[in-house]
Amino acid sequence: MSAPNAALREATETSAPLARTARLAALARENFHFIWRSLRRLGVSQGAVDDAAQQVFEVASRRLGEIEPGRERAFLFKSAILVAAEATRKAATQRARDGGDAVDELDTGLPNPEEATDWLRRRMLLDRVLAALPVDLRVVFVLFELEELSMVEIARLLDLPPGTVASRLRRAREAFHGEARRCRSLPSPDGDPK
Amino acid sequence: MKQPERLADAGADEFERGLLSSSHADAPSERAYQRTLASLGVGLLVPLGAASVAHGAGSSAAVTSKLGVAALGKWLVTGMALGAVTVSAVAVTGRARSTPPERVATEQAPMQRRDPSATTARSGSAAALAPPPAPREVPRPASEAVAPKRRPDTSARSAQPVPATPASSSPDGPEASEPLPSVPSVKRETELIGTAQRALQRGDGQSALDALERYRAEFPHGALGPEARLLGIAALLRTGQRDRARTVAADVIAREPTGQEAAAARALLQKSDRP
Repeated sequence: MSAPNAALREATETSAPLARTARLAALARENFHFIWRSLRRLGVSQGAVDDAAQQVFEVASRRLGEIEPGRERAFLFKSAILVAAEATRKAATQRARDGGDAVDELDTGLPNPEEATDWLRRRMLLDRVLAALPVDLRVVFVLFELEELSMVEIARLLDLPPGTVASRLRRAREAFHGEARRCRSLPSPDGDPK
Repeated sequence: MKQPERLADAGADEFERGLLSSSHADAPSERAYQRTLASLGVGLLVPLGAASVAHGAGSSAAVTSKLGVAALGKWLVTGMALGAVTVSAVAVTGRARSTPPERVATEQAPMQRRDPSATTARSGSAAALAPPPAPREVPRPASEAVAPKRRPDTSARSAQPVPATPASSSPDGPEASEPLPSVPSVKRETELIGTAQRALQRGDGQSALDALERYRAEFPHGALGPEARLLGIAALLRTGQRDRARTVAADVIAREPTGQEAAAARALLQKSDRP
């Protein structure tokens, strides 16, 4: 091998791991919060969401070479959907095994107990409402209503035609209204209907 | 594509808006973020606090800046300290088995980190020191790994005013025949470094410097020398000794410009330079 080629090979071998690490770092920096929130809103409990987020990024790390540049977030989000599905399935199995209706512990971060209680109740009800939506509708609902992405961004992220996104959002909203109505009639902890 | 209005802005009643707004508090903890970075082995490449600033997670820039230096020290110390324990164990094992020097990858299996019991352990009083260790490679023989020798120029080092850097005033690393540190000594090292780190977290730079001085006195060739040096930089910055911090950082960077320790030193200086 000629000297320039040897130098090129050495440079490539040296820089490849660095480039990979840099890409991975950027991937985490730009997407960790989004993926964490998405997992939480896709049904992963507060107690399991840290691990689930880590799992998503570890999958990305293992398959980094397969991720098309510019499509990192889409890859991560699709992984998050799968990880969330698995996590919620496991949680449901565990609840069934325990024979109870385990309440997820939420760290409210609010110093005022009343505020915390109110927020906690609303957050748990939101979990319940979202859990009632079919996954394909829930994903679009979460991305549009909670993550506040545009329709175009959602279509790009999910590789869906824009019309499909619009249709799913419409149906998701109908389902959300229906479930919210149902939850509204549930008694609050003090016995009053909310 | 026609952009519909958000439900929270139009179409939702008060109850539904309450449900939707309850999700605004959804945000990961800094520990979760750091843990994931550590599992990916990219912690040093992603400045602490960057994500919370970039994503508006509710922390002000001032708070982020204030916490940044301490958090960097925390992450480095915890990850590397736990790694050092592993190094020590590897060293002891290596000595017992008389194995030849080889690269020792000590990456912890992801599923182990996701073990609920491990999470529980981290939630206790030792939480501040207990993010999972970053994936580490120990490219030195065990006998060197426990007392790194990275400084070729000892005369320059002895001239440096670096009170908070334990290894800085020592001569070259230990002789080859020097006994390997025992597990208790590594534990003591970790305690001292932890004391310095906690002091920094409290914003008490002077106490951190004192703890590092004790560390240097007890462990002139300690296994946690790199951690002590980085904490020393942070502590000097915290106490307003910017020039001395720069001197120490320059020394660290010069020793191994492309290493992780140098990258961390640069990050500390850059963070302190921000208004």
